[in-house]
Amino acid sequence: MTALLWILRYEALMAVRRPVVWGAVLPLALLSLLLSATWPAVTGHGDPAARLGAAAVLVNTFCTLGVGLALTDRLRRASESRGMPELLATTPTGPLPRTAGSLAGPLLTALAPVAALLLLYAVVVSVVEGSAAPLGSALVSLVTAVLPAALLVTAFAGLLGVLLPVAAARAATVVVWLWACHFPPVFSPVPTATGTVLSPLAGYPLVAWAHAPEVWAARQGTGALRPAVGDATALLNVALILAMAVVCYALGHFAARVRRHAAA
Amino acid sequence: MTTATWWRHEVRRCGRQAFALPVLAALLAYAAVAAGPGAGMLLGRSLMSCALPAATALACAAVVAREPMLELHLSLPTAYPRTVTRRLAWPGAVAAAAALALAASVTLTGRFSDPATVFLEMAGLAVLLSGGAMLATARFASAAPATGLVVAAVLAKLLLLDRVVPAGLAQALPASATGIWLAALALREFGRHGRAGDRLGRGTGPHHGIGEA
Repeated sequence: MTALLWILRYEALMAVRRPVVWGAVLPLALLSLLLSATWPAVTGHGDPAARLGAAAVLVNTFCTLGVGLALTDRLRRASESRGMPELLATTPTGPLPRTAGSLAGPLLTALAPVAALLLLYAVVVSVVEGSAAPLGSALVSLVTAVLPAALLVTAFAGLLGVLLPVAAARAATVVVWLWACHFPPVFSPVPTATGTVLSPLAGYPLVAWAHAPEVWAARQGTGALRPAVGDATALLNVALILAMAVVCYALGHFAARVRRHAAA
Repeated sequence: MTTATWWRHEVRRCGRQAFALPVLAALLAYAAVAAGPGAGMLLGRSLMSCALPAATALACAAVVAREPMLELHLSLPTAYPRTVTRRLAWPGAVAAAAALALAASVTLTGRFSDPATVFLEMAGLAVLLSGGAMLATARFASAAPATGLVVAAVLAKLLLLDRVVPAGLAQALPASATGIWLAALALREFGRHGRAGDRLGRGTGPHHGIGEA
């Protein structure tokens, strides 16, 4: 456990010192801030907490995707490069904490400006409206929606980055992410995960706990996978996202090791 | 070395994704347009105008980032920016051929009343996104920021710009002019990088390995 914390620390610091991950996340973070300030779907709500919930939906679509795009080549690079992995293998840490840390450390670095921008927006709305509810809504959505979704997209993009060339993996991540988050049944000619409890948009916790408007949970769809919003379904949504993240991470770890042994 | 071996070498250096990404994007856009009228039309139009340009920009960024032997290139009589330009001719040619095939097949289906407008929009956006992606890759020495920039630009166009600026020439002309300017800046950056002796293609990782695949 201590080893994992130290790996997290040095990986996060390395990502800060060479700000490539911020270069990938910031354009999307600025876009979601711009949309939060101007888009009628966000600004049209009278309740300030609902406005924050809708902004969190935007953040969880764009910024989380940016985090995934920034970290697509992490697992592949660790399996392809020579020198550093051998050096790290001599340290008293297992391979599992090393891959976990090399994904989660830069993830924290990449999420820091996103969280700062969302909290800044929440503070501005709170001060203008004279109520603390938007700030609470932003904190809840960061913990229950943005963090699990960022873990899932990082693990998924890392897995694709091992299996496909990196540019193709990034393109596939974008397509899959938009399909799973913003492809509601009325709009889509193909079956879609949008609006189900499997959707990484985390609409159920956002609606149940962060005051997001009702429409972002089931997305006007029906069926066994699109239940009514409640504490239980919100928990189920978060648990499924985390479970998918763990599965993707385990597959990516395994694929990177197979690839490394095949190359050696 | 004949011209044929020379170009074949450059094509191999670009990797498979320089060919696969534009072609797959064009197929996706055609499938979305052919899938159906009605609710699918908005999706078809968005994919038609944005999928191929975004894929072309990603391919260009990947080609530019992928150079593990920069020092060797700097020792050659050919200037490095010229080598990059020549290498970019391959994804550019693939994208142009895919765009023409896509425009022709969509015109045959007759779903769009104004295929020329969509084609112009696509061409302008492709130039803009490719130029921006090249500049971001040159500045950060990695293709990851370029991807974020391309996705943000496409979404900003679909969600914000399309409501304000009419589609067609009004979007295509400024977009392609800006794109050419950005590409020129990127090529100048590669010349500068070369003189400073910086290395390209390090990806987001801290480990020094071969160039981004």
